[in-house]
Amino acid sequence: MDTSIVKKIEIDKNHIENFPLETEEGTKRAKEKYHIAQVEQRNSYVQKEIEIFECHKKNVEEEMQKRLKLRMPNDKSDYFSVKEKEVSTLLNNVKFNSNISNSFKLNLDFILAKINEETSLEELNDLILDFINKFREFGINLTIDDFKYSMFTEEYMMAFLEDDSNKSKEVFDNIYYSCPDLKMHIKMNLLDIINKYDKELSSYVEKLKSTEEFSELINKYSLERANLDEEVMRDEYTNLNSFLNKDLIIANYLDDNQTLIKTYNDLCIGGDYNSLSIEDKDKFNVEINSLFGVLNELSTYYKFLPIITNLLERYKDKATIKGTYSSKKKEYDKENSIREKLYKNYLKANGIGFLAKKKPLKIKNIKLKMNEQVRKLITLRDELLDLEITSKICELDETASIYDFFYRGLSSFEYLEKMFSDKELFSDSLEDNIDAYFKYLYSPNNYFIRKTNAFSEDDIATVIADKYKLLGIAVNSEEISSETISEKIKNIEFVKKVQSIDNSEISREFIDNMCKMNEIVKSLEVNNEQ
Amino acid sequence: MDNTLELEKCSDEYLLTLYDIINKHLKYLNDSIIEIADEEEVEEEKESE
Repeated sequence: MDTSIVKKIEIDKNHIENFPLETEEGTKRAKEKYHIAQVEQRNSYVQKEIEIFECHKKNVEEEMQKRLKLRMPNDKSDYFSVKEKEVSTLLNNVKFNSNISNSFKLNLDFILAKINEETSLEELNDLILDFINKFREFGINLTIDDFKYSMFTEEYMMAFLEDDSNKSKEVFDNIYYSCPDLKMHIKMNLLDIINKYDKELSSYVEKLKSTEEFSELINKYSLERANLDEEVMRDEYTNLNSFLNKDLIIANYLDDNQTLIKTYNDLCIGGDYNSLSIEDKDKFNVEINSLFGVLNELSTYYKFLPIITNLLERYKDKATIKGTYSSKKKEYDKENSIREKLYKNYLKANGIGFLAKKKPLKIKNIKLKMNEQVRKLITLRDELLDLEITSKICELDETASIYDFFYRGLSSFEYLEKMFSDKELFSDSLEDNIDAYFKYLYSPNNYFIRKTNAFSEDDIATVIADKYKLLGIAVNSEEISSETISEKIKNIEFVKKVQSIDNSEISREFIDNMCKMNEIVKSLEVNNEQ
Repeated sequence: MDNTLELEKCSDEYLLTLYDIINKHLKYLNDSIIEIADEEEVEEEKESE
């Protein structure tokens, strides 16, 4: 401590406390006068000192303001957003080179998923427009010839393509009573278009594919994803700001904090982290880092557990599934050709050529049959998709890992769509769930799902807990069940945050001092505003 | 007494401690000021007694 200021304070105190304020000499009036004069003199001294110390205070405050600006680490937000885009591009490359369908890769399935019984007319029109625009992006201009799935879709789309919303509303109202399933007819028509242009879509996807080997792509993505996550976690600017903004409280992260001591001790076998040797502390930190990844993986595994349960249930059909998909496909194709025939008959009933004569009764009958036929096709398609995913699952054998099952699940968008539509099991939107599922499968932290046999009856939480116990980390299976895991992750995230700061260019003590200075400067700004 | 402090060179901890000491001393100084009752008030007090 600067001795000059401490000395000055001592002198001040000494001077003020020993300042004579009373006298024994003279009359009462004289004594009073003496007292007032001395008080005034002492007050004047104190006032002068106040001015000096207010000046010191101001200088210290200005120095703090200066330090807050000068010592603020570089804001790397721009760098991180560029990096994030690069990693997203890599993930996109993985997506385009993976086993998912073209319509999944090109996001057409998301459009189709939004067409259901609840879709409003306005939403339906927006979705059709999105679909047409997407095809335009692929270099395919859809015309009325593409919308002849049924006489109803043709009629509706004629009005739609005229781009007159009043007319299409009028047509919809007209068609509705003869075809209450119009929305589903349109959905089936869009699916039909995807099949019709399969070659064109494939060649478009081919252009977007990376030339790299799929395994190399995944490794590259996993590495970049993990590196970027680490870099962000260690980032000095982000960390300091989260404490300055009070998202995190620095006092909880200092070595003498009881919560920190307890968190470390609770995670350490033996219950005393500080008694570990430096070497053991290093090992502990490495294993905590690894456990953090595994627990996040386990937490997402719990989220998608209904899917694995469902897929394992489907595997039970392995002995009987053979041939069922292909015979259902034949049945579907046969019924689809009946639909096409019905449409042709409808055209004939309307008459062809100059002397054409309409046959109203026949037209009415064909329309009724078309409704029935499309309904049949919708049901058959659902059955076909169900058999398709079961067949794909049944191609696996007893050696399959959890990952193999999840990966097969990814091959059917409709299957995932159906599973994720159960809002009791999955609360997020379809897009978010699909995105999370995709990222989970290609996550750099896929430790156990790739290695664990899908048919193993071992409790995964127990297997993980036992492994980390051997490595010196105190974790038990009850703490990492689906109900309790988030709390454990929070504790480990806390330790990981301490590690990340310690591995960065700034210390926790530096953050503590910056937070204290920031509080002082902020309170000054508030006072100035007032 | 030199009123300037060489703040640039001091550590953050030092700066914060210094700030604390200055604030405490300022409080001490402010508490040390004695209010002087003006003569009229003194007279009034005497009369009421």
